[in-house]
Amino acid sequence: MKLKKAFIPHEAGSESLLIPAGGAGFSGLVKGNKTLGAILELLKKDTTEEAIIDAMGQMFDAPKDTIERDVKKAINELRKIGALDE
Amino acid sequence: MNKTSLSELLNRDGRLIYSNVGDSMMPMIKQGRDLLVIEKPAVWDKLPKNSTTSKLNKYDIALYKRDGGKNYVLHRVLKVRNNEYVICGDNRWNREYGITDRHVLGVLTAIIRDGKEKKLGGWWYTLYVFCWCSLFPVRAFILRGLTFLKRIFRKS
Repeated sequence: MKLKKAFIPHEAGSESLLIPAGGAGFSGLVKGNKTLGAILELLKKDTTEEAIIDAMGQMFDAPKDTIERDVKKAINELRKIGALDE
Repeated sequence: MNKTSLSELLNRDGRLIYSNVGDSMMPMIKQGRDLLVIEKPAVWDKLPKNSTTSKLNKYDIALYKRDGGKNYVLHRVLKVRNNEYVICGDNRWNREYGITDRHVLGVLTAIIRDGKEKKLGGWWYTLYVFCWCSLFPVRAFILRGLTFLKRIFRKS
C-alpha cells in the first residue's frame, strides 16, 4: 500500500497534516500527532501494514500491541478517506 | 486523528494549511505542487462592524466564500474600494465584484513547496506581483482571444 499522490503530507510544528489536493475525492484536513506523521512518511513508499508496525517499533519506545493498534487505526482512517493506493 | 472543516479551523487557530483546486492562480500556485498557508489576523476580530478599515490590501490574495457558494475561492485583490473588493485570479481575466469583508475568511501569507515554507514578500514576490498585475490588460486581451478561438474551433 502507498499514499496516493493526491494527498500531501506535511509537518507543521508538533502536528502532522494530510492535505488533499485536487482529485483526491476528499475535502477536509486530517490532523494528527507525530505518530501519524511517521506513518505517513513510511507510506510515501510502497509498504505493508506489518512493515509499518516493525518500523514504528524501532522508532518509538512503546509496547508492540499499542503500536499495532495505532497503526491499524490510522490506516483504517486513511482507507476511509481514500488516501491509500492498494 | 481529527477531521475539521476549513473555516472552523481558521476561526479556531487563526491559521490553516491547505491546497488548492484548479488553475486560476497559476503560475504562482499550482494544484498538487503547492500547499497554502492562510491566516486570519487576530486584528480582524477587533474591527468594529461599522469600521471603514478594510481587512485586505491591494494585491493581497484572499480566501473567501461567495454568497450562496459552496466552494472556497482564493484570488487576488486588484482594487480596494470603499464597500467592495475587485478580485481576479492570476490566470483569469474576469474581474469579480461585490466581495466584501464579510465574505473574506483569510489571507494567503505563505506557500509551502517541497516541504519548505516561503513567506509572501521579498524581491521575487514583489517583482512577480508588479509584473503580473501591471500586465493585466495584456494578459486579459490574450486570454480573451484564446477563449474566443477555442469556442470557434469547438463549433467547427
